[in-house]
Amino acid sequence: MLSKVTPRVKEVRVLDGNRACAYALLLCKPDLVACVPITPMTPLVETVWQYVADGRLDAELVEADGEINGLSHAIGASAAGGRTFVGTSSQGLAYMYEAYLKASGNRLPIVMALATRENAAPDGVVASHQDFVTARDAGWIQLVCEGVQEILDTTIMAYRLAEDPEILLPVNVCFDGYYLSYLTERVELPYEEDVDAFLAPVTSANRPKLCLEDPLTVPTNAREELFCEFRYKHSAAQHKAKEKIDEIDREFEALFGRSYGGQIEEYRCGDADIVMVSMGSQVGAIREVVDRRRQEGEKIGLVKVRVLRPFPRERLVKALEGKRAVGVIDRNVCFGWQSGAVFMETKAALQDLPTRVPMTGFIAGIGGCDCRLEMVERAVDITRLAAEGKPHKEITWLNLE
Amino acid sequence: MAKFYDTLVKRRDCPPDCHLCEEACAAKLGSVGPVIKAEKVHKVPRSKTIACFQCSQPECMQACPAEAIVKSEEDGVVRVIQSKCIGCEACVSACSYGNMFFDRETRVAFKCERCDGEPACVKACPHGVLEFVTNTESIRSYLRTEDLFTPGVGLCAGCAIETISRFTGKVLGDNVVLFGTPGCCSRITQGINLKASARVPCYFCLMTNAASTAAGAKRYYQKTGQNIMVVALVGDGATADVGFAGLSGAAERGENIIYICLDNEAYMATGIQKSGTTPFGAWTFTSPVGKQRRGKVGSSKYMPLIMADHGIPYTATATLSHLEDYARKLEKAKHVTDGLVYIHVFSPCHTGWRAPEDSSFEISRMAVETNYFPLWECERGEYRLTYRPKNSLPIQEFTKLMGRFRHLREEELGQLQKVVNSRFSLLESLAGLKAKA
Repeated sequence: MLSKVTPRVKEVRVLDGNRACAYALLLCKPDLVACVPITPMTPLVETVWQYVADGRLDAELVEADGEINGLSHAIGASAAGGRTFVGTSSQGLAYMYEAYLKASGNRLPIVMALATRENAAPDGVVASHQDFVTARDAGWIQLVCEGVQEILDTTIMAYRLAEDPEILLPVNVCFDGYYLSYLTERVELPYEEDVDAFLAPVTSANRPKLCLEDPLTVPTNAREELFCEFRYKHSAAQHKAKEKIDEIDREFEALFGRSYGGQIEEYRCGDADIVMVSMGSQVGAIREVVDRRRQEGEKIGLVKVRVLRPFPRERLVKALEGKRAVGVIDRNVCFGWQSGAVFMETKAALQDLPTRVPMTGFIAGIGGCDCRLEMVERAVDITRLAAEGKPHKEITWLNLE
Repeated sequence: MAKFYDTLVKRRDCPPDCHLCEEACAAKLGSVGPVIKAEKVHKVPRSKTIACFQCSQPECMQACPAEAIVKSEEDGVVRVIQSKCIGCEACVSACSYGNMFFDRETRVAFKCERCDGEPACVKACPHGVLEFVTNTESIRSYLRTEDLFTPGVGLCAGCAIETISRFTGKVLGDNVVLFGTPGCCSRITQGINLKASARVPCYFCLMTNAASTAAGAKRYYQKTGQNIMVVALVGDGATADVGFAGLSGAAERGENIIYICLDNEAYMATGIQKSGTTPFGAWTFTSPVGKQRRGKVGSSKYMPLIMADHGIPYTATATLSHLEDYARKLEKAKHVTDGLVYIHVFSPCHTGWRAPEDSSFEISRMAVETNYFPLWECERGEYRLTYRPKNSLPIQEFTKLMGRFRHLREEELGQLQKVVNSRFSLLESLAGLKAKA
């Protein structure tokens, strides 16, 4: 329970996403940071390394031989009771995947930044959401940022969420490679004491760990019903995380004066008859198009998805109920559905509604392509066709068509 | 704990027609016949106790109605107090091993009493067959704590991993957190459901990340001022193959963990498949023997030397057959605080190597005596052979003990011998034992 304070800002700086995330670590004070350089995340860890060299951060640094071993250092340290951080992207996430699975199954509150990037192949060191979307069912919580300020704030909230005794799950803080990791924006830096106060409830919390006073074997070979029980509880924690994300956002706003809406942000959705849904930096482009169209009298809104896992089902359904059409812009490809993942999952969620809501899906901004304003305009137009019951393509690859 | 006594043991095979031990025995005892039998020595497998076993609960002593047989607490020897012997021969009938004898003329029983600590048979043997092992008590002095592991772990009867692990734990002590991986070793570190197999904290890793996970925990303990030993118990597959990168990286970064590789020279837990340490020619299911294939193609990775070459503070090899050597090495390992310790332990798998259940110690001993598995250490760049066989035996003395080499022809054995020779030669050079060319 935080006391009522007037939010304050220590300093305003111009930072890119990598450096904003690094600054958040300066405030959150992890015990161990592991990394392997990988574009477009590298400057993040270089900044952290320099913090330690300059004596500004007291953390164990691990320049691992490979991502799986970097994450494994974090697993070991976290299992022993420490606060940890890992940064990676794309192929790095793929290489550490075996350990990535262990981290969530073993309920370790590791925070991992992903400067999101295409998975090979084709081999493009370019932006997209493919990396974390591919890994979405490994059991981690996945938070997605739109801007650089949000990266700093979400990293702080990530520790609050991960280490919450009711959650105890690892958290990905995802931000677009290049668009957010390398491009700069205005960032308000909080005071260290305020972050200390915000994290205090979890910093002092007890959780099971490897210690001599209470020897544990983690994990054992779990069989049958016990295995099911582990899975069930893991799933329950993901479910609990939804309301926790909303709660934490409110707590953050009270202390720092900034809110992101929790699981989703509803932008001008109230009286909208069509709503565009998306996550990541391209939400900025969609916002602009929504504002333009509104000026022209169109009733259009935007739902920004801030968390992919757990999927914000309930809030999304509530926001989209009664809408004449929903258009989802994905920066990823879900091969099984030949669409994007958010499209597919939103479609599933809307099954909760008694009346069908027509949906259109768009793939944009993959392979290093931009998601340009004119592409968003086209997406809105196609979604409008769906709202009016006119023939239209269900899925459009905006960079190709 | 029970006491460990000096033991008379057979070390090598002997020629069947030699009776020198018998002659020396009879001469020493001045009795009607020897208490050691050459025929028995010839037939008994190597490393077995010879002559009277000096049983902990002697059947002869229990059978004696005159209390003429006593077992010394001091040296463990069972002796006949001839003045008390009534000549009933009950002891002779009672001994299941035929190690009690009766002199019909003097009407007293007699037996092996180890010649007051200097057995005549040992002195008389010209073939180095008999040895009076006297340093066993010192092994006990290394044991710091009760077993770290519970009884009932699910390993094959006679598995070396279990014996090695229990011994390791007792020497290292319980101020430890263990890290294990999938493999046969997992039986000792990973519990089942709500039951742990260790009474110290254990973290079960992946085959790919034991070294790095252990290192991460150690970093945290160090940062928070907790003086806890971190030990990884890992098989050869995870060490030489799929987890090699992480181990190598941990060595290069100077992570302060004790990494113990229990090498059974194949992926045994998945049912005997070749690994990076499977030796040349050995049969496994993935290095099969048939018309087109003759066991493992190519040689194996010699992990201990690879790890020593990383420049880590301490590297060593060890076997079951030389436990005091292993205990000394574990003591050294404990005191390293500035980098990785790597210990490679030879771990015979009778199931996968096709050998009798009780053969682990013998196979280990022959591995050392044939230079197949030399015992050495490297302490901050200084190499040292910690045991050198008096006369190295040919590789056949090792390979003949296991079915996995049964198919090898002479020239193939020759190839394996070459690998063994050149490896040992390299170690000798590193240890400064060879004159430069």
